[in-house]
Amino acid sequence: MPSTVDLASALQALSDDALDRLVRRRQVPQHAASYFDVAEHLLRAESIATALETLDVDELALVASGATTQRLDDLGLGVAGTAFDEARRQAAAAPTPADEPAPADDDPDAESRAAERAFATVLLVGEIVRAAAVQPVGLLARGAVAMTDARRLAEAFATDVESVLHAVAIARGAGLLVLRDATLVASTTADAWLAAPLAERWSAARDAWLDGLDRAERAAATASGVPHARHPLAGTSVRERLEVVATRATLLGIRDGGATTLAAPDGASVLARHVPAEVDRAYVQPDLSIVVPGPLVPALEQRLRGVADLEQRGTASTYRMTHASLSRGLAAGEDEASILALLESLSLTGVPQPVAYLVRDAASRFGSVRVLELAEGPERTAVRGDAAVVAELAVDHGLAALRMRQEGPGRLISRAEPAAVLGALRARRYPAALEDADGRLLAPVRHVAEPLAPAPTPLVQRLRGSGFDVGGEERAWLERRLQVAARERVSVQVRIEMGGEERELALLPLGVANGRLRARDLTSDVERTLPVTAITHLTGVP
Amino acid sequence: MTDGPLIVQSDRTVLLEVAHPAAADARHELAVFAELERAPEHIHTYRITRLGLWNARAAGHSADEMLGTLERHARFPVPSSVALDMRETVGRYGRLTIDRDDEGLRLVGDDRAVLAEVRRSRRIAPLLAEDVPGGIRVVDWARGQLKQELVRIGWPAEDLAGFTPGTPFDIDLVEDGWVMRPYQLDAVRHFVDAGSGVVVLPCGAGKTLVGAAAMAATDTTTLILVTNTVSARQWRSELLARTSLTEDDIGEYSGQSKEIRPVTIATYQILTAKRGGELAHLRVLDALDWGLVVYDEVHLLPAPVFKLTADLQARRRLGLTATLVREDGRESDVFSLIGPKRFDVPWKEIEQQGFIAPAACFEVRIDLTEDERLEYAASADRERYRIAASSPAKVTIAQRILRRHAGEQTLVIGQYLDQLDVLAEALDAPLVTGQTTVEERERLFQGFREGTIGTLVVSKVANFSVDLPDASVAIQVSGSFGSRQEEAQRLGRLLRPKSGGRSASFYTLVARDTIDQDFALGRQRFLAEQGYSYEILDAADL
Repeated sequence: MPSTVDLASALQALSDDALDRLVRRRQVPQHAASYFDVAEHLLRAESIATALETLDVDELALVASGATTQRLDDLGLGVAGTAFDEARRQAAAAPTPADEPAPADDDPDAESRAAERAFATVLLVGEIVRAAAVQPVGLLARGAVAMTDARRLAEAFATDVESVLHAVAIARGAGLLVLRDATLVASTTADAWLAAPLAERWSAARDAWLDGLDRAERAAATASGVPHARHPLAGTSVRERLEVVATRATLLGIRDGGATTLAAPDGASVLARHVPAEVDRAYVQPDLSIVVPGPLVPALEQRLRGVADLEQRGTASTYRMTHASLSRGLAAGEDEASILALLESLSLTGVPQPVAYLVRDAASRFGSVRVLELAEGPERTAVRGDAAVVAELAVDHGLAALRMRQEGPGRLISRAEPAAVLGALRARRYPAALEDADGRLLAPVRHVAEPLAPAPTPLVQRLRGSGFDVGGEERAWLERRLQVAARERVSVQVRIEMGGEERELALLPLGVANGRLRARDLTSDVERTLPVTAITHLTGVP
Repeated sequence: MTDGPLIVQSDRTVLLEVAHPAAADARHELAVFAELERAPEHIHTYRITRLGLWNARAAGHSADEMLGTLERHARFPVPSSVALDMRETVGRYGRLTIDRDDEGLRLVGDDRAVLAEVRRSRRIAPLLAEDVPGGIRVVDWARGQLKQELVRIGWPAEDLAGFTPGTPFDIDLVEDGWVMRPYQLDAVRHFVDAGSGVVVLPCGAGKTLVGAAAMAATDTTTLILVTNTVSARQWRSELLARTSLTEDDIGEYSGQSKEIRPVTIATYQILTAKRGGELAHLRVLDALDWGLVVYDEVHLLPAPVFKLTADLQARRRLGLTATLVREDGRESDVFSLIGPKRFDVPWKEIEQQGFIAPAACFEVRIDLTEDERLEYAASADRERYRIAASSPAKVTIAQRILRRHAGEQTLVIGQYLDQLDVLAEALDAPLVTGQTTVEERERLFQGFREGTIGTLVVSKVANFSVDLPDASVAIQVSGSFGSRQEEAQRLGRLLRPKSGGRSASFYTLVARDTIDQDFALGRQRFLAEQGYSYEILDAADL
């Protein structure tokens, strides 16, 4: 029967990744100091009970017989194919689950219902990924989506907050949204995904999302009946987690009380049979709306979205052109001719006069007021334009808060930030655009990041002696992580540079304020205060 | 998937492709249960609402028929959620009925669970008395209020309690050189069969005649409620011209006159007038045993009149309107208290039959002078619209438009009295405002009808229920912040049949790059959505 020593040795032999996975799954406290501490935690009866919650009946039977598999060893329930006594005892006591419900009779509508949901979900995920590239989605300290952002997205896409949260989770699980500085932004792979045909988009999201699930979750995604029926030891939180997974699988169309035909490897071709074929033409109407009678070819959709706002998403989509949407397109490099050419190529019935007028009007005015970020001095922003327009800006009642003052003919300066000035000018209908110091128009920033593997837990960093240089970190982000360490009472290793000297310290952070870290030095047992900017390397921070 | 003209979206909107060969059939069938939201040139948008479905159910259509329409004409499969929701919603209408036995009113239903749910509602409990065989006794005075509350909780009751016959009074149509149009006859037939409800016809389609014919079909004392005194006088003259009623038969109950006759025309204003905090003229409602109450412009019915109408449920009620859309969103009260929609016909159909004139809309963009722009920029927000809307440049443009339409009856409509004074003088045209006496106003309108006055400058008073049969051009110089209702009324002034099939022209003068243009955008969208041709011109183009 393996002992604590055997387990501690096995832990040491694990790869960094495997150790990290184990520590996460078994929720090993971050303050554990050694492999023995970790092993002792893993062998506690309550810790084993928690681990057994995610095992299905077959695995429980195996453990009850005293044997394990590599997966179960990786879960810390045994060593070298032999289960720990406590695990065996608990598994043997697991109740026998009730007979599984017989699969439902063939429901002739199940496939079309699943396809309908898959279609709607893939569209919503796409919208959220696009939106995150424009404005990142905020996350709370515990990793949940900030409710203000969830509501913002729900309102923008005419849906409910719950649907948004599921779609964000699916997008994240599929690697389309990635973490950057406590926010979710579009991943660098998202553009290629958005450019793919709808059925391919769906199957890529389905596969990537399923890949990110653990064994119990994957089973729940396609299980018949109750998602946790084959997990007799599952407690409330595991049951809830599996139900959430089942709901998301339902939204993706791979579950409908049990696995659907879309769950099969050729699910994409099943979906393709049920969703409308892509179209490349639309109705451009005099009320400035553009109605696309089916999913638009992705390349055209990408361009249309550049100059028009999506107003209604569905089998058919409605876009609307406004001065603001056209300004966005013009700032991104479109011009009057290219926009009109796009509309002409799209339109089944020509370009109505009011639409053409709007495009010409927006293009002729766009950028006649320029906003420039100033590099130095207390004034942050300059505004320039035609002398008559600038004279108007100078007296405009609604711009008083910017406190702009004239600096020569045709130029105003303000202490307000360029984004604030730009927003205020646009709100007052001035055709303002950002420019750089050379007078070139600046395209709006897109928030995109590489998908990165999550950093090892602080415990593993400490056990393995790894960490990271903080040079690339934003100070605010670093401070926040140190605050979390203080709150969770997790000790960290820091390397600091002060007066040209480098020192290593083992610290228990107590708080961060005004750019300074207050912490107990674990070696000398004194309280220290040091500037966060002095930290050059950090290990063990959550 | 078929190649039909409809696309049914999961948000319960239905898009209709106008140019499709089957569009006319689909529109005809769809209009039974879906409300037309927008009707721009190529794609019309309908919405399936609860009220729409219940209106259709009230007219005898089943869920299967309605779904059959969608399935027959839809290009892509009808979303299962829409089909499910339609069946569920339609199934709710008529599960409860209000009828009458020897003891009084009863709320009757086969489903005891529904009756129990209704009983539990705190707002409904006071309206119900003891259980009786098959249902629940309804408190005598609560018939209207009960229907309102039942709609609110999603169990609309079919009102089969019948109507009081009222005092018999012989009224005949006198078709002397004119005949009722086919759609008017249809409207009357649908109303008479049901005994209460709303007839929706566009401005200029002859709603007054529908009212007169309903009176002739009912042969009973009638109370007609109208928006204002001018409208009351027009009803009176129309009834005198088209029916057997004489001067002695018709009374006016308004601020000026307090006559009660077998046919009495009262204004909403007098009904809601208060003295010492109490409604002072309620006696008109009980002055005679009215057999029919006609509500003109039911979309403008003031909230207190709804409350009074709740007490008139035993009398036949006819609502007349151009739109079921109410700016205050109280459409469900119209449904509960006046009755379901009994008939409507889109204006395009009536236009195609030659009964109303086609109209072309033009928005003319006017540049403010540099001084005007500076004044505009420096003004507080509340002043900006007035400055932009009353730019003196509009006078010159109005003169040019008059020259362009020389010999055509033209209305110049505006909001600001000083601007209208200037215009009246510059255009050498009489001015009608709220200060013009009723007699003077009628004299000028009569002159305009007879053609002795070619151009009339009018303020908002001309918006509602004013019959100006020969206006073929309207020039709107300023309006009250882009209300959809106001727009429909203004255009309605033009939609009377024109001799020689001439089309009507509607000009809106707009100051470029101002808030005036923002409001115009809403107007442009509304008019284009209604299917009017719309063109944007620069002042220099005229």
